[in-house]
Amino acid sequence: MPSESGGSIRLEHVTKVFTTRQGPLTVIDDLSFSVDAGESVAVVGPSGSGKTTLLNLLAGLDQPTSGEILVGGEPIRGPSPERGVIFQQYAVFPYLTVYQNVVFGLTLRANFRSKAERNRVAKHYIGLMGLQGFEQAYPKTLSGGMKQRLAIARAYAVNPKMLFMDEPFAALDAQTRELMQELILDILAKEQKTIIFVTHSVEEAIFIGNRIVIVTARPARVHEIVDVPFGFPRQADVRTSNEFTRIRRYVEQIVREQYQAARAVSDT
Amino acid sequence: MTVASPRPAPLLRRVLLRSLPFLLVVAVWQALHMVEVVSPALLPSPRQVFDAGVRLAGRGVLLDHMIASTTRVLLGVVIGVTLAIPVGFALGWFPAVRGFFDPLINFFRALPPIALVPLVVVYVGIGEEGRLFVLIYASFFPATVVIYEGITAIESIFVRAAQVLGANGFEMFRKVVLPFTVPHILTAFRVALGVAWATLVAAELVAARTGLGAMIQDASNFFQIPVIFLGIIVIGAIALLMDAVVRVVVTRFVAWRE
Ligand SMILES: Nc1ncnc2c1ncn2[C@@H]1O[C@H](COP(=O)(O)OP(=O)(O)O)[C@@H](O)[C@H]1O
Ligand SMILES: [Mg+2]
Repeated sequence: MPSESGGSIRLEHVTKVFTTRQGPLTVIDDLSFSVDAGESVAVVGPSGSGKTTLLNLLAGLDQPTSGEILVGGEPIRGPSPERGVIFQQYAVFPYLTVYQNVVFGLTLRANFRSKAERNRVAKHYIGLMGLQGFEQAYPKTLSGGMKQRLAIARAYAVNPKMLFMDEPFAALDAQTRELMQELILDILAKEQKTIIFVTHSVEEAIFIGNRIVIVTARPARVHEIVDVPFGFPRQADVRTSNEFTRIRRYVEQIVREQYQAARAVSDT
Repeated sequence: MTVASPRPAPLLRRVLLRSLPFLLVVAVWQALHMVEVVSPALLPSPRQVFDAGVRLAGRGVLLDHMIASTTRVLLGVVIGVTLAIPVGFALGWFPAVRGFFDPLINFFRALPPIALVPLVVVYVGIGEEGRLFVLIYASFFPATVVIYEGITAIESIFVRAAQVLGANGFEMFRKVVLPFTVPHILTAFRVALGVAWATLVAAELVAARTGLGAMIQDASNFFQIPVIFLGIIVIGAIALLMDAVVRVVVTRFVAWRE
């Protein structure tokens, strides 16, 4: 269904250099790839390779030093509710209840909805994310997985065309992580978005992505782009298929080389 | 969702437990009085202080002093914290403003308010405004620091989360910065109350006729040492009580905190 106009993303020679006390640090170097509307692209790279930096650029929270990111053909000008972000640290507002967190975006001028409409949207996503019964609870009473489900509900509530996720399940235990991955596939099957999903887990990348962009150790450059041959909707049992294992071996081999390269970088 | 808290100890037990340290102090005090380490004329017994209290309370004088001082402190703290809120926000939100004013704030915070009393008398006069000024001064600076440090501590991830959901500058302030700051404003209130009570005697040096500080000074002029003790104890007790009240309000208001 990659039809929605405006959901496509193109990175053109994106470079990001930070000024540090030790001098300029090139974190992203001439990175180019594109994502069609409705695609789900996983970006895999070792930690410290600039994945979070890349997501900040995509979200419009930071600007490239050179190069351009085009969304629907237009260069990014700051953050926009069209482009949702799921952070690794959940970032749900601790002083708001689950319900209030979900409707947060809908109380802002940028996407204001009436009370009745907010209730409807909240009910819908609270249901999809399995948070019924917790509407009035504060985030401190929720588990990590529930907080991240809340963050997903909050992001979906403003109906963005694109969703960027920064290692969203990295802090969860293995079982919860798998359930969350399946939940993401579920909601994507129901309400499609253009996804850029950043992770250092190869298995997660294959399970969620229809393409995998493998980036090099810092500075991040495209090392290789791998197509994932499984269509959507995807069932949990693809994980155990031979094809999955084959791709996984292949990608892991490349990533391992990158990890070694990253270690070589940090050793110097 | 909410874990059942362990059943609270019976009220009576808790009150007894809390008052134990105070009872201990009174016991030591009584002992010191009896062994006459210092002349009994200079160190009255708990009983003498208690009697002084009963005597002054009976004539309604003590209550008047208590009301005068409490009103003064509350007024000073409310005004001081109210002024500290916008200043604290400005300092917390704009690093450049903070860099510029921080040394000044710390300078004025470090000055003991009592050092200002002579100047206050000259500039503000010996009326109620003068006494209030000292209390506002004492409350304002620590409250400002508590509030701006609270704002600086807001994690940027929440700001970014609100930005990507579409929050504009005003919404960021209203829906992110402000809620995160409420607990710090309450803390500022607590800190300011403590400082204001500690400054009360200095404030009432400004020609006060009523108030616990004034009562202590009068007693000092007439060498009524039990009344001095009484004044000190009552000030401490009211300060303690108010702190407890604010603490209860804090837990009510910021139930969301971990
Ligand atoms: N604002 C910044 N200033 C300077 N260096 C930064 C900044 N943000 C990130 N970095 C550096 O950029 C590199 C990549 O960081 P990051 O994008 O967080 O990597 P990843 O998410 O892949 O682990 C790290 O070495 C980090 O220290
Ligand atoms: Mg990261």
